[in-house]
Amino acid sequence: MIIEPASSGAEFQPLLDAFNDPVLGTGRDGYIHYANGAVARLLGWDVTELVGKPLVSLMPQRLRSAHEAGFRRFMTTHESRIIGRPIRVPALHRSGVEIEVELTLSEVHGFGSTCVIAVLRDLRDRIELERKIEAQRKILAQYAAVAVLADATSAVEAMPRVLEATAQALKWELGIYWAQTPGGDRLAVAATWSSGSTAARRFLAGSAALTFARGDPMPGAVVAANEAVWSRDLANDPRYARSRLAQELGFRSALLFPVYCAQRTWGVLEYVSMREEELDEDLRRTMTALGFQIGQFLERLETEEALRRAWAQADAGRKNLHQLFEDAPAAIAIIRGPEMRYELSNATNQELAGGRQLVGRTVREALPELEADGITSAVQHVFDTGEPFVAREYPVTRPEAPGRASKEIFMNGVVQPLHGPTGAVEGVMLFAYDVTDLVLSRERVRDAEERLRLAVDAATVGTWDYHPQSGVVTADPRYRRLFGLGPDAPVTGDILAGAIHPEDRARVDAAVSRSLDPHAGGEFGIEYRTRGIEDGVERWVAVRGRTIFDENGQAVRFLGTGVDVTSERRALTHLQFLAEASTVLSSSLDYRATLDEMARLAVPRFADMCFVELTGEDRSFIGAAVAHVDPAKARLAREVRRRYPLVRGSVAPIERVFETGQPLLVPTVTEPLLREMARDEDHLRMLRELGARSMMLVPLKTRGGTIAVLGLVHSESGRRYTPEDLPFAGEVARRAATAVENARLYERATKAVGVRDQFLSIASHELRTPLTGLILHLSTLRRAIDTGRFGSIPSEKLAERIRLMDHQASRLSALIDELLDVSRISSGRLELKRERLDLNGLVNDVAASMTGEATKAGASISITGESGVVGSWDRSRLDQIVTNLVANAIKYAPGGPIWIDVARRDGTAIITVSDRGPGIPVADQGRIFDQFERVAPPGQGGLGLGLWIARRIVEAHGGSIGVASRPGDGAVFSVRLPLEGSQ
Amino acid sequence: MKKLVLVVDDDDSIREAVCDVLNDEGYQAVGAENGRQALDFLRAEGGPCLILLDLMMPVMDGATFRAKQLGDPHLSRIPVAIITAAGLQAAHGVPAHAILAKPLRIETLLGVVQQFCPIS
Repeated sequence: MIIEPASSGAEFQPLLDAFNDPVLGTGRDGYIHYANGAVARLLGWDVTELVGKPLVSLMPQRLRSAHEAGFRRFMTTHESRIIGRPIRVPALHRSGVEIEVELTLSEVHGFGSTCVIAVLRDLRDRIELERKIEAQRKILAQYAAVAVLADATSAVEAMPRVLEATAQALKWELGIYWAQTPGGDRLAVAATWSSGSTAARRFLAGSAALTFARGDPMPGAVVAANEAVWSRDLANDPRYARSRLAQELGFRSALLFPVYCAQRTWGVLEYVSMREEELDEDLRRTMTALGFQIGQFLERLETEEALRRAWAQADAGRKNLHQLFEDAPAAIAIIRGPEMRYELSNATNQELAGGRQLVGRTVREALPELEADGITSAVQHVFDTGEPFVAREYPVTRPEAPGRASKEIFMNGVVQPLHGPTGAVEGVMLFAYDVTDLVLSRERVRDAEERLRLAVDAATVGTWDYHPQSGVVTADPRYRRLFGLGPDAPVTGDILAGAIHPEDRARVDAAVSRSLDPHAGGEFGIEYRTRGIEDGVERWVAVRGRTIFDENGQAVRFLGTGVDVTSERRALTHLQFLAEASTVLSSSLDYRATLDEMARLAVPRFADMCFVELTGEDRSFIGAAVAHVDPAKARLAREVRRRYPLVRGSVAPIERVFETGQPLLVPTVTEPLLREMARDEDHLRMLRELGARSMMLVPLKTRGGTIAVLGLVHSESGRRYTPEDLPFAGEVARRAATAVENARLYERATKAVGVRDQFLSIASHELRTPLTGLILHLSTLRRAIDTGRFGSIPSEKLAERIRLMDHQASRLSALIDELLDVSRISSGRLELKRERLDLNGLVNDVAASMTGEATKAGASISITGESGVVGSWDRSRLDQIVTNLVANAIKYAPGGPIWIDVARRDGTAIITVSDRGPGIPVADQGRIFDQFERVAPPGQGGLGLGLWIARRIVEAHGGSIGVASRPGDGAVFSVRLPLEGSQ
Repeated sequence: MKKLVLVVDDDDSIREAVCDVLNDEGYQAVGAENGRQALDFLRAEGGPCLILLDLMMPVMDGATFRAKQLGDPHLSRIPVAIITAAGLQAAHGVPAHAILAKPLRIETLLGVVQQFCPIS
């Protein structure tokens, strides 16, 4: 900035003092004419002492002669390499200490003389910050590693990349991941990375076959130490097992740290270098933290693997979703009734509660500890008001249990009201997961992030200067950047004003007028939005300044500083939005309505248009939530989707995000992109009309994959998205995904509970029916004995009664067998007694035993097919299946012929049972093999479990069962059993 | 002349057992497999002194039968005792003179029949 000199300088003293930066001015003679308070404070003098001193006296002795020569040359030739260009030089403090400063010299003409203005900037903080930023690189190395982990799906895939990312960032020659051997407590090489040098490769080869126990020298000892260990002299370090190998190949330093989490140590990461690395306490701590993060990642993988297994199991059981509910890694509980009694509590919730009996007890009885944490009253509040309770990183006391003390943990979760048919709150569903590790590890890096942010801030302060009388504005490059201007772009008041966000313009104008009013004190301070003139980027700027008035009260100068506060503002509005969105998302289990509401919330704050493209549980596209600042455009967007539905596998942007699960940022939507997206001319016309200029597409991911895509689009407003917007959009998507997943999980859980209840009612009906018959027959006989009439009952009538009782007893026994089979299959205890078996013999036996029943129903059984289809199967189980299929055919296709066929095809034995009955509606064919499903109405007999049991038995044999049927044209059930491997 | 009792239940064994018990006790018990058969019987043969009615039946269930019976002025006055295996709630909404839960005790059954069809 340029300040005109004056003979005394006195009237400019307040102006000079308005600057935080030290400023001083010299005359042609090189003596200081004036200085502000900041320069005095910086160098340890009073302002009055400085004035009159030669400028060079403020420099170390060794630089004075060079400076004096340069100054003289400049005064005669006006040539200088340093005028107007900041240079870094040491300045001399009164105490003799040298202070690193940035010095900017400006030449000023006026009042018949030439003067030089020097602006100093104290660089000590900045140098300290730069040093810290350098230190942050280690943390950035850690981020790089964590980024690898976030994408990886398995340790095998992740660890070599982690080694590479960290070793390269820190310039180590090689890295080794020593993993705990499965089941054992030894360490063995599991992944390596090297720079490729011969020595590195030989070192890795020499390490490859080694294993270490926990107490052995390093890496073994690192497991016991549970923190990072340095060695700077490998050749002579008794703690290091491969001293000779290291010495031979010239490796000198090593850093080893454990990969661990709260529960266990997974292994050790080792980095080796040829340099003699300095002991770096910061790095050692960072790497200990990294080890912890990798440990958590491995822990998470294991949890996910357990979940995948649970999914696979649940999938195998299809409707056995109760299992899924049980195995969910989150704690889930349903609490009902005004006294808040647990109705359901899954395994994770049980574990959290220390294995206490919860179901059937009230919250207050079962977990009195929760009272103090406020959980009990939060649940009560949800009951009372019907408002969901959302907890983020909520501290909870984990109750003590045998073998573990009580402990404070952090949880994320939601307590959701469950409404009854009248709308009243009848219960709550509690869904929560432990985030203690996350909270603790984040605290470790928060400190580092804060320092990084300060450093970045320091680099964004810009300065400006406005002469109200001439209208001339000067602004430094940093200030220009706040308005999206390059360093050389012309600057006028109008240009800058044109960049102010239209909504903020009036506010800024008012603030400017106020500060130009001499009665108001001249202070200026405001935050407003700008829209980049050259780059279109929206920024928040904080501008401070002061007006200088002359003795007539005329404003002569208006000047100050400006800072980019976009990220703080962004963080603030983002937090606000996230809080609102989270409330909306958890306010209802109707996730389509809540996604709609969320889209509306995002407009116009973050987008001119926001949409969510959703898929159903079968991955089909099921429509979108759309919000647009212009309702007509929202209708147009819906029309586009109706006419041009998404196509799975297409390379268009939305479909691509579904496919890859990666977010997509399009800073500028171009005409070629629109052409690429459009399927025909009409489509192109509509896309153009929608007028997207910049957009972000972010996947909503759950463990099952991408379930939806969130789209944020800027059009009318001309705003642009930048990479800094992606993490926020990702966070919104993550929360929305969790909400959708919770709602779907709840839907499925409710359905599973409903199916179970229906089953219990059918089972009780089915068991009571034969029991009633049996009891009545027994009672009549007992009454006959009591009244002395027994002897007069004709013997054929007695025989008939006994036959009937026998029949009831068999029915009961068959039902109980069926229930036992269900229990065995559900708990995975179905055992097969394999024996060598001829299927032809088997179906003949079944047909013989069923002939009586068939004849009674007017049906006939015929057997066709090959003989000699022999394998190793469970005879009684296959007998059970074929009997069940034939009995079904007799029951549902009465009076018609039934065929049993045995065939062999491509290594598979096939038994088919066909009938000529009414067949099975196509819609029902998919579900008849599910648990508790049957197509017949209740009262038709049976638990509806026969085909499910058959399917599970066939699957246990490695085979499959299916049905082909056209309504009205009979049904063909086929059982396929593998011949190979069963011999 | 023996008093007539109509037993409506789709399950052969229960129907037969109930009929046997009542026949032994000196009633004339007649079985029907579902509501439709029961209506046909009543319209052809006239009124018994009591109908024992199961609820869950194919073709025409107990509730439908009861509604049709009440809608027919010739039959509406015949008393009905419901026999249900699905718990007493299932009988809610079906008007009846008595409700019997399965498994059925012979004393309870005879007590109810005796109440509506007294024989000295």
